[in-house]
Amino acid sequence: MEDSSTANGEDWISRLPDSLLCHILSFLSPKEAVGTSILSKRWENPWTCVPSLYFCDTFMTDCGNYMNKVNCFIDYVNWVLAHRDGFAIEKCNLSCYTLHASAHLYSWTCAVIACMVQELTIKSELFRVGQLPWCLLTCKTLVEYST
Amino acid sequence: MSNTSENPNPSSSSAKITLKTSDNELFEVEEAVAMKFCTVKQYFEDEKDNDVAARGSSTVIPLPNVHSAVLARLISYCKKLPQSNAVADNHEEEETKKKERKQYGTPGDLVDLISAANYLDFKEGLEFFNQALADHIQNKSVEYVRKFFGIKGDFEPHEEEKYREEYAWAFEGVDED
Repeated sequence: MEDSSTANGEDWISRLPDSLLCHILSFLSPKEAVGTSILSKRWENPWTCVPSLYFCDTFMTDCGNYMNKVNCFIDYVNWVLAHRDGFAIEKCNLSCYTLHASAHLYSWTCAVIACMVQELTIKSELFRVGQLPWCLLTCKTLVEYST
Repeated sequence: MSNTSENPNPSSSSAKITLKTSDNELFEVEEAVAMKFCTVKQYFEDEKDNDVAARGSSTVIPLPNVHSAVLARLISYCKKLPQSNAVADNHEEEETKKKERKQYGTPGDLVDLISAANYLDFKEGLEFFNQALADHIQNKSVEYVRKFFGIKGDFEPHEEEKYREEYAWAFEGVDED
């Protein structure tokens, strides 16, 4: 049934500008958004510019042992933030429940602030507010912060 | 989501505005509906400032980037907006909304609606139609999404393989159809 409503070979969606592709991707989970990067070269980067970022180290379920999973997550967050290229972040949620991922919260917070984040939520039992970077207190764009 | 298009003057709520599409069709729409399109609203207010609006419904607002077929669908969506824009607070409602989003046809239709909603700066519409497209990507395999949208994979096989390994976790647990 679904076939009758497909694009009939014409690729309309890839013609949309980046801003609209990002908006579409923002309705997906980060996992699904990342998955779109493989569709074609046109889709390689839009997912890195979605306005809201949600990172949670427990969503990485079935990819091997603990260290594999955590490293996979750390690489992923580093990769997204490194490719952000200063593109503003509206909302960001960093949830880290593993010790190894929590160790990166400081540098991730710095990176997120450099992207002029407006709403930042950090969830971690292994990290104290006092361990967060000072720039969090002077960040001009930050409107809401919660832990 | 706040409704930003309250009519400041209720007595004129039945006033009509004429919109002219790219294929020269004229649409007479209620002011309350037309004001949902921020581009139209802006144009209308500028005209008002110039006192041209004194001529009332004789003002024709040109929309050179919007085809009549697309505008007709946007207007009909706009008219039933209050109920369809309610926040879904349970699973059942979300399913109903999903079904509603499915009614808007092929990817080509949706892309036309999105482009027009973007041009008209029609926020609720953009939100709705973008989500309708996202529904077709959600939890689907790369192969399905490519087929559904007619996207041609143009990576070299080794490049694609590299990505698949790198993001292996992103491709787990998706529907294959």
